[in-house]
Amino acid sequence: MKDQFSEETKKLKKQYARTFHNDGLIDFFIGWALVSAGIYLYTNLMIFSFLGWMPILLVLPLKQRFVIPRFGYVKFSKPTKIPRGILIAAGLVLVIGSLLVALLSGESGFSTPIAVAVLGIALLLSIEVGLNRVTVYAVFVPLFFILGLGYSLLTPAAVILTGLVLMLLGIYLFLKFIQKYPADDEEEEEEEEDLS
Amino acid sequence: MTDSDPLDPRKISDIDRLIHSPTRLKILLVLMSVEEADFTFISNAAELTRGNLSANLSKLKEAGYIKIEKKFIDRVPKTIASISEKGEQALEAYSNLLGAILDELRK
Repeated sequence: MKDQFSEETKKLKKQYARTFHNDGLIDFFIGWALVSAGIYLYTNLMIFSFLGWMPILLVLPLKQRFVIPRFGYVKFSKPTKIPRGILIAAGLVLVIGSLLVALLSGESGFSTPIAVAVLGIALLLSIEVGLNRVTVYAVFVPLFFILGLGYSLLTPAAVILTGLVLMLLGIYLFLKFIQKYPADDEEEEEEEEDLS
Repeated sequence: MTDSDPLDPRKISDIDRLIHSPTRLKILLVLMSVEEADFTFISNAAELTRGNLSANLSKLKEAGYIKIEKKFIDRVPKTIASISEKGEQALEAYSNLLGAILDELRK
């Protein structure tokens, strides 16, 4: 019973962590980075490689401005750990899948569907298995570039399209989050005063 | 029926009534799952109105099951709650007793 109870609280913690990070900010900025990388691949202008990654620094201030006042402040004792087996399996699926497609197609014309398919696998994993999307992106983005460039599958259009999909996903999740958790009224804050 | 029988009426009376309320149980479960959280988070996670939450947090605080303190988070003052050791023990004891009763009923 004790073990089951502890398992249930772990599940709850994981659920809260997932909701807390389901604001779409990470998705939007990863998408932004991919769009910038795509433009960089197309134009070779260094400014786009900086423009891609620098806005990632905005995630924390935006979280403090929009997410914490709505969803509330929480400190999770330990970061949610993803079982090593699942991470390895996810990585293997991406690597083997990409290798197979690359070997079977051998044509650069397949690059856009491959890019979107790899992104689809990553997102499905995050939704179905309950993986933290940040971890999924950490696996997906390097593999996307390493395999894409290594096998000459990556075109600027594929990178930009993938980035746009992620940006749209980010905007959708952010709007959904704002709608679900409206900003607090000042009057309600007064109730907190009585407690401390 | 023996003293250790979970269906013994005296044992059932041992159920902690403070935790046996769905509202307070939800609050304790939220706080058991995280290290600390503010009023807004608990209200969202436990799906409780702020008035209901406030009243029940006071009861849990009085019983020593939770700790409430004022903290500055990113320069903003917040009312932060966390479960106490006494609260953890009480929740575990409640879960064990209720589990034993339900197990016995299912036999």
